[in-house]
Amino acid sequence: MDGPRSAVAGTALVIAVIAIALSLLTLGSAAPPPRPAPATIDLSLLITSSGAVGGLAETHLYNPQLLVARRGDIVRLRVMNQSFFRHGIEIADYGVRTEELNGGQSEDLTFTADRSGIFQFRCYTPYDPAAATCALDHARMIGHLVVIKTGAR
Amino acid sequence: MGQRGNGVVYFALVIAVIALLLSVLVYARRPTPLATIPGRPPATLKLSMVVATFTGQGMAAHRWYPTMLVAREGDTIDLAVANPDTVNHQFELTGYNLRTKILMPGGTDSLRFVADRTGVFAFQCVLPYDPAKHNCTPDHELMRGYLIVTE
Repeated sequence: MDGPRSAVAGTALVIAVIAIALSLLTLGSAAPPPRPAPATIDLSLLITSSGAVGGLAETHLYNPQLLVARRGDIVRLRVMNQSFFRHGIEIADYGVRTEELNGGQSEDLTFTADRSGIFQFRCYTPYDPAAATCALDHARMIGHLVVIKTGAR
Repeated sequence: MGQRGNGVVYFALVIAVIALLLSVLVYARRPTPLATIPGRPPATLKLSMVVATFTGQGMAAHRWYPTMLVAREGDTIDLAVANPDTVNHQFELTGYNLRTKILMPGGTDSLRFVADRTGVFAFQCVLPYDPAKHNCTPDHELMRGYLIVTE
């Protein structure tokens, strides 16, 4: 009756069916592997020192120097300052920091590791001998938090 | 009527073509299943674990060192555990039901196992603080670390 019109409509129908099939295929394959259940990583983070107090070779270290978490895990750190001087720790990329801690003080930091990557944690109180904050090796008081991606990418 | 009918049919064709292009684009960029991403073959990790003591400000802190272990599923972990401390400790990897013998001062033991389950597994000292028996230290609860096994 109306040849070209039916042909065009038929083509449109075939194309639409293919499009629907492809969309369904994509939907089916898009299901990401299940994200593992978040774990809580519950640690103490020590600010320690070795060498003569105030000496040129006095070295401040964290224990642990390296924290690892999976994306989504909850990290709970009890930061304890065992050093003679006052220090404050921050993980700048996560926006968390302790108060300034005198020697012997501690504070809990809790955050969710919701972004993957390698993040520094460091002392944010500059070296000031008059105020007994930090020490000569302030710039080297760096540790790292590694947040790894698992499951869905 | 005939003209309007033609218009509707061509409109339907254009919509169908757009739908096809979109679905092809999305299908081509669908997420790859994780299993198809090649990983390295399983390895044997020879690691050591010791009791470390940190002193300062009148505090003596006892910790497992290192605190974090990372392995990939299928790796074999060969862990040598040593106790250089002056009191007894005992290492337990709780999620894998593994523990060393009681480690006297200077004692060593080793654990060899396949990390066949993914997840975050705490390890700890399982000898409660008991000065009469020279077991562990007052900060017993803080002698803790984690093994992370990834896919």
